[in-house]
Amino acid sequence: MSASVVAGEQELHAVLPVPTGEELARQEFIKSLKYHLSTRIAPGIRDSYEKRRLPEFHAREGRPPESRREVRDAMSGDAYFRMWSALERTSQEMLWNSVQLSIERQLPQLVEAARAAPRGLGSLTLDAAVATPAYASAVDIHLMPGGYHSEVCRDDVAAGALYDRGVYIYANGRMGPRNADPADTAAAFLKAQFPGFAPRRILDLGCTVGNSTLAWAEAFPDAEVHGIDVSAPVLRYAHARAESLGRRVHYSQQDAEATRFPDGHFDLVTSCLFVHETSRKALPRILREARRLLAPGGVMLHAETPPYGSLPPFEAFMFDWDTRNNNEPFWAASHELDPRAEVEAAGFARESAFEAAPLSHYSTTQQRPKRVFKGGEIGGGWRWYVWGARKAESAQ
Amino acid sequence: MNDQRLPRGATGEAPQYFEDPEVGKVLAMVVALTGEMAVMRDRLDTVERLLDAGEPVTREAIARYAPGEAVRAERDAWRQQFLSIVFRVLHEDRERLARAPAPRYDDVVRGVEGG
Repeated sequence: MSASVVAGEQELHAVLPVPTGEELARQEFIKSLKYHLSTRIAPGIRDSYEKRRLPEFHAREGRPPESRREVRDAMSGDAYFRMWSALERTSQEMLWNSVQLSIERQLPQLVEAARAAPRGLGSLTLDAAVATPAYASAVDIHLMPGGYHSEVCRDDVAAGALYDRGVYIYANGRMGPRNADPADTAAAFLKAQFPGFAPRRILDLGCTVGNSTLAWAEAFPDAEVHGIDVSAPVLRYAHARAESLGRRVHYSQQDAEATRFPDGHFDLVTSCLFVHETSRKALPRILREARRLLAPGGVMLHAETPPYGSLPPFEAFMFDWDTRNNNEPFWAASHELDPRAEVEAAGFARESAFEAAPLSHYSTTQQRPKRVFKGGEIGGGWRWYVWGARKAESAQ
Repeated sequence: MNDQRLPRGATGEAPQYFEDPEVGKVLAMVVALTGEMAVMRDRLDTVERLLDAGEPVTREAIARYAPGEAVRAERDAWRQQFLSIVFRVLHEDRERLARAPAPRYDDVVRGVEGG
């Protein structure tokens, strides 16, 4: 079977699970279904809320709902919301399935391609002793069957292939041909925030298939770039992908809570869409470890989706859907973090903390950006959220 | 053909959206069937386009066919129309909701005060 990925689509590389015509049609249907749900079904949820549930709440409480939790209680029995939720969840389950079918056809070839990946540029170091943390194994995050860590054969790369292709379809190409938009945006922010900052070594935490790691390697071509993750199948995939795309990255299987790197080894410790997949218990340890790994003057920077706590209760409720419906148990709590308190608890100076919601790099550089999200159009454009801190120049 | 099957379901307790959880399963099957119809329609579209271009219609040619941007846009538009037909009852719900008058706030206050 031959490739049928077309121009303007996801960038080809040695381990991308390239769909046949039929498989592409199945994946395109998922995009169309998600688009239809966002633009044609989801808008009715607000009507149902404002015209039915809000008056009921008023009648009962004598005031409007004041928090997303109260909106959730008011909407929990709403038939229209429930139907949309069921369809949205189904679309997510079908998304992964549409990629799995394509992977199952070509898994032996993908595994072989990963085995054959040259070791010339970067490197891959696996360590079977690294355990999967509870936050990654308690449920399969964002409903991806098997999570990042499950393996079905020797030298398996399926989880990496599933994530790489699945994220592209989920984002409807909105994160660019390498799914790199959040990291590209974070890199542009970093360069603007700290002019002249030139990291010699960069560490990408929870890097999975290296979507963000490659973005950092491109942003700072002279830096030595490392990516760590607890899961072997995504790392094997990440390594083969980086080699295929001609990027020098050193991937290793390590836990971000306690790595094997020496103190002060990096100038930049970063993560991308990782924090929301950790836990309240793990995050402080990860931040303390990041501080240990930073050289004086080094920067810690995490990229995420924007917090929604300050949005009106109904909008916050819609953004919060993933917490309960898409196996994202840390979604809500991770979007309510106080960066200052977090970095201070990890030993950084409180005044070194920063946060910002920069406009998506991809959306500002594309002619026809796609801005539709689950709950509808994002007002004013697509933004990411970055937060972090800088380690003092002279270590205390 | 590879016989290595990946797990079909994600771990974690699934939320229940309907009183009878079997309704959710039936809905999932209806949407999956809808998807497979769209897959078949794309395949038919490929066959028609190969015929239009006077190219041989073989299974290999169909599998290899790479739709260009214009063709993909046409197919996207077809799928939106198709989904509007499949989800007609939900669009009807939405129309009804859009038409429903929002209650006047004074009426709400009266309702509350009236106990």
